[in-house]
Amino acid sequence: MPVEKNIDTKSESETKPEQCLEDIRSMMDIGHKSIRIEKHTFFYWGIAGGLLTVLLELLYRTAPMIMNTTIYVVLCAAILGAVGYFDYRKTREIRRCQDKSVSFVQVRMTRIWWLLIGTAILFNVGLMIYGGSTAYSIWFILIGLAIIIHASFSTQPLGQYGLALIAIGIISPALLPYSGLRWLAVSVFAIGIPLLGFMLYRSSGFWQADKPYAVVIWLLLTVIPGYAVYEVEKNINAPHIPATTLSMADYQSNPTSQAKAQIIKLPAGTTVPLKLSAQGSVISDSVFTQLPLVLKEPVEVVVENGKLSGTYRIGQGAWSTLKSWELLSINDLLINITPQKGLTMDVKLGILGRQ
Amino acid sequence: MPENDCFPDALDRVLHQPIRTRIAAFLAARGEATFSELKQALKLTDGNLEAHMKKLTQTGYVDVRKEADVLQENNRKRTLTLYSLSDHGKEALSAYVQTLSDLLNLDT
Repeated sequence: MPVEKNIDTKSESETKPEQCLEDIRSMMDIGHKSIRIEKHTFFYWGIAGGLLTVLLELLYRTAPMIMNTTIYVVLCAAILGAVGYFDYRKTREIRRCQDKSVSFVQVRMTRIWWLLIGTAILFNVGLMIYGGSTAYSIWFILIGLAIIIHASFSTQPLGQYGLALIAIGIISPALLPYSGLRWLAVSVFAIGIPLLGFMLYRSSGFWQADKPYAVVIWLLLTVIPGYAVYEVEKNINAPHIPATTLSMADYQSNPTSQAKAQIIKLPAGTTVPLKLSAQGSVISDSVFTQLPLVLKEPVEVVVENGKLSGTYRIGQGAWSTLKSWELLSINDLLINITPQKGLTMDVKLGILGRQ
Repeated sequence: MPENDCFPDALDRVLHQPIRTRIAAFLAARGEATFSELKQALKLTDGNLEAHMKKLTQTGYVDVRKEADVLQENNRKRTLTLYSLSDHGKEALSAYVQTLSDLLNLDT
């Protein structure tokens, strides 16, 4: 009859609780430090990064801005997505081959790595399209990302809230101007984050964070207050619209008898000379040039005490207040040299008017 | 009665063995591990580890998952056996740590 081997060589009563806890702590420490980045990972990501940098630089020199952004996203998603997939597969293959596994921590850290790469692409695209006004969106995305990272090591239902924050960060700059984003940020930080804390610690009832509808409720309560304040502020600061409307010809023919406030109507086809000045370390003097811009649509502007008030509307659209820094963007700047023209600079300006 | 006399009775009989405690703690932190990884981390012989793993799987504290036809470094295919702490095992380890902490009057 086979005798079962006595594997409990050290009796239970001999084991001190302090020693047991110390053993548990040290083994958990070893278990947690189970990440090993394989050699091929450095090669794959490094070479892909170098390749993308070369390709994207060529792209910037040739394609226009919108095309640039589209190609950028497609190229980054294709190359980095493929690298992520093959890296993961190769890592698993190597571990299996060595009779080893990919640990829980490493799987989570790989996902975080992919998320960070995706975020970097998003930031670049955001800066290309919206410029500096994406500052608040970057904050939303980073906080969303931080919450998702916590979710990887937590039993709390944090992931969906992190994703919702990232969605706010992506969508909001397309729908709101900078002043709207500012109020949205106030709302997300001051209401959304504390509300999430409240919901996570509700063990039952309507406000429980892991209910299927909870993230929708949270999203609404987070976004609506900020948007509402932005709308109220917009109405409070609504431009004062005078009653008198003049044509440009009337305004020019009688400059001395101007009412305190009046609307000047500029029909489509009106020429607006754009005066440019330039200065810099390689330019000896400021050079002034007048560019004859032609209006594509009729524009009405408000003049108060002989000066533009900043209030305008395009066609029959809503009246708006123009902030000069929202008006201009430089879409492209190309420098060229030809035997016929010599050195030339081709600057493409974007002039925006919101209706 | 000396405190040590009642000490073993309050604790989980399967986990209150130094090697099995360490196996459970390692798996709790790592998620999943192969036999070789466990052997390497715990510095045990094949026979000794196998006996302890058998006891842990029999009590349902450890789950076993097999991946067939894994190509090894010597180009031979074999089945890869992966061990992980089951939900039951996680609860038992957590209760075990709590009991130890209570015995030492520690806050967990």
